[in-house]
Amino acid sequence: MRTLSTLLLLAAASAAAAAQAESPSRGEFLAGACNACHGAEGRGSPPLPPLQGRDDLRQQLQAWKGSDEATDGVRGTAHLMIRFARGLSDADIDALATFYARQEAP
Amino acid sequence: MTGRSTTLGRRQFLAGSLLLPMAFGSVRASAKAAAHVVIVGGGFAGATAARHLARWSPETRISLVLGRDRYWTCPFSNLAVIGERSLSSLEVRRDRLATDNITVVPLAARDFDPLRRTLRLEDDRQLTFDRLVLAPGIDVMPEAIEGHGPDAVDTFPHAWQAGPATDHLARRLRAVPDGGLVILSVPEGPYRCPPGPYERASLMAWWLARHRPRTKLIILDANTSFTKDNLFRAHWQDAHPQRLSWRGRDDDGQLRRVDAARGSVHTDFEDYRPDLACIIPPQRAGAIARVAGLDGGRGWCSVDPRTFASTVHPNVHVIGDAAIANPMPKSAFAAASQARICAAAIAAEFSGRRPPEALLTNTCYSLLTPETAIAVTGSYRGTSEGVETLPGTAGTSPLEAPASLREAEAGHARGWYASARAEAFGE
Repeated sequence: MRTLSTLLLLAAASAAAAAQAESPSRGEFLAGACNACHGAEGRGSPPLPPLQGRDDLRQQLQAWKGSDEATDGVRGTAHLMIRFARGLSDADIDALATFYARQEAP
Repeated sequence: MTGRSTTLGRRQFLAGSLLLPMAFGSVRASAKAAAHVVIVGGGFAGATAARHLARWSPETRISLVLGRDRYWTCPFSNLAVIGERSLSSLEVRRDRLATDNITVVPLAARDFDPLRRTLRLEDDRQLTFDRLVLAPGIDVMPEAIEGHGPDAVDTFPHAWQAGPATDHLARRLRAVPDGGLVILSVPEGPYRCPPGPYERASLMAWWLARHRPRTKLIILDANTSFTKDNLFRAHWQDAHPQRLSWRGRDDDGQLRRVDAARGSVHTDFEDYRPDLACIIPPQRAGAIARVAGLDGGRGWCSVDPRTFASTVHPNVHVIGDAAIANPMPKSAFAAASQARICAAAIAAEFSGRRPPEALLTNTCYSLLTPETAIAVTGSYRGTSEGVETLPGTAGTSPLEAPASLREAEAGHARGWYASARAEAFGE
């Protein structure tokens, strides 16, 4: 019994350590750059849309990242998002998209 | 003094006790677990750092040293200069920054000792820190201009730190007669908010066109080029061809001296007697960031942009305008980005991890009129060699664009401003 509670304590401690090791997660850290415009926690800041709970961010960021300056949105307001997306690795885009998809939509 | 000081004294005593030898190892271990980070400055950099560190390292105790002054945001303050926004709408109520693990210290910092890890407050009491984060913004140096000085700032208002000075400049602008002359002088970079002078010129010209249509505005610029200059110049050519002229350093734009008694402004070849001369002084890091050789005598602080730790004293971080982070501009957006890197790096270090890969971002919106704006953006990587611009990320709004795009970007600017205040100050 004593061994079991010790094990449980150890498990709790290592879970706490794991949670600690992820603070902030890559997605949460990167989200700071998005929240700078899109509202605290990504709740949106009109006219800039909310990001919380979105399931289309991977596709959207990849589309911007791959877009051609000569033909698409660099001429419109999307020029900012296209340039921002170009600074993100594919892994960073995945981390961001996963982070926001797990949030509750506002 | 007051009861507030007594409370502070106790907190300070607690912090100081970390240095005392402890009788019991277990007590020391628990005290050591609660690391203490002292942050000086509660603008966009300092406040963003405090709130993110509290979120990412919940067991860390944070003291946020704000000084006694009230605080108004510089972003959007150029609208207050032309009466299109109230000064009170720019004021941030920073008392909301205090939380369970953020103690707000309403006293100014005097100096610090990086080896003893102590920060001295204006009343000579000391805070002991594990890490010190300095975010003091800028000090202006009117005395660097011949004939100028702190006593002449009301004569040649700059309002480069927003507040009552912004309203003073607004009153001075309203007092300019029709057919008069306004001078706007821009110091050689680096200075806070690189596009700020040109935004101010654009908005002043917009106001003059409506209220003093025969008044001229001359920009005297100590630089030969400036951020978004093709966009600004195209707008001026289009909207203010006879009203606004820009003279760069190569065109006698360098201010040489002023005469406060006469209100006159002098370059190499011209003597101006303007009705209003808005002289933006040269700048350097706020005083606390020039202690202990932190600025290397250069006025600005060299940092490792992976953590924003000082290259002189690694347990002291410098973020925001006081840090050397070019090609990032000295902007509120950049300051908040640096604050997040700094907070994440400190949180990582306290839990024995490596700092995150340092992605830094900036977007600066500039208003051309109260309802139209342009933007410049860029993403950067902090490396051991400095700040690198990531390929394909740096650029501006398109030069040729319909009014609807400029109007949309003004809307985005307002969205950013609300977000930046919410993220930094919890508003």
